Amino acid sequence: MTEARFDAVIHAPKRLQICALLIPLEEAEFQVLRDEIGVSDSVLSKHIKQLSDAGYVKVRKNKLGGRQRTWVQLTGAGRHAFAAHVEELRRLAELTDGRQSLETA
Amino acid sequence: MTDETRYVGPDEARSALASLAEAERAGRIRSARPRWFGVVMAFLLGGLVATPALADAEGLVSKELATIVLILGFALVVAGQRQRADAWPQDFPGGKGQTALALTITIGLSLALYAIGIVLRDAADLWWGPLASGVVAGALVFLLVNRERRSMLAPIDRTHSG
Repeated sequence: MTEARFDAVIHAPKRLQICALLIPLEEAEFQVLRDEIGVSDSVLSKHIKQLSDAGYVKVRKNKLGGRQRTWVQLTGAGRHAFAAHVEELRRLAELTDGRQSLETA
Repeated sequence: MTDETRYVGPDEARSALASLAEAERAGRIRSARPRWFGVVMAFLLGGLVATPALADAEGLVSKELATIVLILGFALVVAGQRQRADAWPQDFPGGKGQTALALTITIGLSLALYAIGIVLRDAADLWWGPLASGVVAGALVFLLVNRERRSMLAPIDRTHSG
């Protein structure tokens, strides 16, 4: 059982979507994330940089047929943090009022 | 980390869970292997198991050549699919132990079917024994690949543990 832990880096809506999209994957190309999340290249780059700085994703670049491809994958730490965050969201979702809700700082 | 201090209530948590379930499903759909992948893998493995049927054939296709072509085919199909895909499913979705077990069963079953085909051909004098084994092996692989595909496309409920 994963221990529930709120993670402010992951909780931002777009970063949460990036992590969720990457969870069932070994890796995904940058444009897949951009198309599925529905953000511009620069916004996605910023979010990926934040996740990468936290050690949650790893970026790999390669060239195929002269075209540069950028691949993004969740690290072990990223998977662990995401699972803990989802557990915390589940716990919060089960609360019936706001008294026990989480205060993030 | 954010500097802002705020409350995450049940509604926001539920909405976040719904949003991440949707994103996770999108990732699974993008990485689900195409339908033809199962057919090709079934044909290649079934062909490998059926190669003893060619043992006595002379001329056009030898058993050795067919084996080499089919093994190369495996490598090419997997590598080609990986190159053209823009998202690749996890290699060990159920953990390395579970994947190793599935691989062991698949390889063990294929070898057993290969041996059964040879026994049927040599001991029972049934020339079609290896072909029948190949069909069974191919069908098993097809079912396995399609099962994985269906599980990738299935809806996700993230609101409950497990």
